[in-house]
Order: sequence, then C-alpha cells, then structure tokens
Amino acid sequence: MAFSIDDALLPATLTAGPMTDLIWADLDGRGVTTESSTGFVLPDGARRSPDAGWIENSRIPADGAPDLDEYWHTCPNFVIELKSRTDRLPTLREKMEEWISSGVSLGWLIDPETRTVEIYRPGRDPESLKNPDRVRGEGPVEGFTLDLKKVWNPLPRSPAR
Amino acid sequence: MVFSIDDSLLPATLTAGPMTDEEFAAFCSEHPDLNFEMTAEGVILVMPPTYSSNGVRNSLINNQLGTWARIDRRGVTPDSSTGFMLPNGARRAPDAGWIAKSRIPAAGSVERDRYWRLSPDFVIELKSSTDRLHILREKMEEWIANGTSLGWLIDPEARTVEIYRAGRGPEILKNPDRVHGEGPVEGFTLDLTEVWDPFAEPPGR
Repeated sequence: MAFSIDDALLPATLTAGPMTDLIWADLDGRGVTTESSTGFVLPDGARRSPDAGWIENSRIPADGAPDLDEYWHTCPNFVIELKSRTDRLPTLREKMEEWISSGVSLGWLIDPETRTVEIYRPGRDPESLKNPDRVRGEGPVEGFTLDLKKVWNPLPRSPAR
Repeated sequence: MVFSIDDSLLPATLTAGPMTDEEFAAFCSEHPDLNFEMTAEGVILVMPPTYSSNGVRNSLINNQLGTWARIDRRGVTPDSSTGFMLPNGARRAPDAGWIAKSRIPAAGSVERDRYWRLSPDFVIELKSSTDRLHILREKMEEWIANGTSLGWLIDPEARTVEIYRAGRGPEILKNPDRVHGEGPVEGFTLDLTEVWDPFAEPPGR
C-alpha cells in the first residue's frame, strides 16, 4: 500500500498495515481520540469541547456507568485547540489554562495564521514554538508526533490537478 | 451578539438578520463550546457538543475517512465543526465529509478562507442519542438537493446505515459490519464494527 509517510497522525516507523490501524492512538492502544464536537464535563462543572483530544482508556467510564453514554465527567489527558481566523487568542489561552487546571497534562494551541504552537503543561508557563515543522508528544502522548506541514498548507496550491 | 444559554434548553433556535460569513463566524467564535448551523431561512440552530462516547465514534469515522483520503489524494476531509455555505443559502456542517480537490475554491479567492460555497461530494451524519431522526433525514435530503452525491446516516443505537443518493430513495442497511463507498468515494470502506462498539478490545492486541 502506498502512502506518504509525512501524514500527521502516522508514526514515522510505520511501513504498512491495514488502513484502520494507521492512526497513532489506534496503534498505541492506550487511549481513544475525540473530535471537535465532543463534550466533557470538567471537575468545576463546565462543559467544554476541545478541537481534538486523547483520553486514556482508564478514564473512560465503566460499562453501565451513568455517564458512559452522556458527557464523561472527566477531562482528556491531552487536548489540541486550533485557532480559526475569527477566534480570539485571549479566549483560547484562557481555555487552555482551564484545561490544564482541570487535569489535562498537555495542551497544544495551534495558530495556523502565525504558524505558532503554544505548549501548555501543568505548573509551567506556556512554551511557544515559531513555525515548527512538527511537534512531539510527551507525557500521556509520548511517541506521538504531529506533522504540521499539512496543517500550515492543507490545500493544493492550484485547485485544478 | 453575546448570550448565555443553559445546556438544558439545548438544542435551541435563534432568529437573526442576514449575516455575512465574517459575522456568522465571529458569532460562533464567541461560543467555542457550542455548535451552530444556519438554515436556508436564516434560523440559527444552537447545538450542544455531542456526548463523549459519540464523539469517540465520530473520531473513529473521521480517522478512517481521513486516512483513506490522504492515501487516495483526490480530495480533502473536513471535520465536524466545518461549515459550508450551500447553494440554498444554508450554513451547514456534516459530521464527516469529503470534497474533490477540483471543487476547492481557487487559491487567492475570498471564498477560499471563508465558508466554501458548495455541498461536499460525500457526507456522513452520525446520530447521537439526543438527535431526532426525522431532523437528520431532512438534513440528508438537503445535502443531496444541494449537490452532495452520496450521504450516509449512521445510527449507532439502531445499528443502521441509511444511504442517500441523488434521485433515489434512501437504502437502509441493518447491522452491517461495513459499508462501501461509491461514486465520489469509490474505494473507501468504512469498518462499522468499531463504530458500533468503540471500546471493544481489538482482536489480537
């Protein structure tokens, strides 16, 4: 099977495999991913939704738990927020701080217009990366590398191919 | 426009005057933890985030479709917060979708960085326990009427997939293990076993 190795969610060591196994979290097996419409209820009662998230299997409510099929009363271990042109940066920075104070171990705030990634971790000030080609996971998502080239340039330069 | 609304009142509708893309996007950005669409009649639909398990299901669907699209290279995939301006004037977001690269607005056009004026070639809607089926069926019909070639309405509770195609009544599959793409997404196969049971231990792990 031919595919390009720079795909954002593919580990660089991967060479082949069934298509549905190509995703980092799926290969890794320690957790599941959520997408941008997914809600969580945080310890302070706020209901929030990250643009992307990863949550370890042990935090998923047990079979039969009342919140399994509703909002999970927990927060993801890792979140990504992707700034859109109309999002306000101060609002997103506050949201990142709220994620961290609610129990998120690692958060990335990605701004494609300025090509910056702000890395949030508990007990530390955010670290800002300027125009990185990739950003490496740590802590809960050790081993994951996000290739940012497709994020900076997601579309073909010319629509006609 | 700033407002606060209790989750227990959602989903809700708001009426507003006509809004430009910039105005609508700015309005949505004021409420980063809610999802919005706008009907062709200008009614704003306010929706809470989906429940967490369904978000995992939708993430699995997006991962499968996105991975296939990257290998296939003929098109791009938006995620579930992505809005499109349909020919009928509605601003809608599918849970998953695929758009041929030839339809992407040209680089440098104003539209490129706003809502694209098109209905994706292929859309997936994933029913959550709080979605009403008849509303989603109307949405599928709207996608098709506005130019979408193929649409799948997936109901994980009933384990059904309704397949919508232009000019034909929907076809209903009961408890399928997979569903095969056709037309614009010929070659894509969605494995539904992990959608039906997203927390099952995969065999051999």
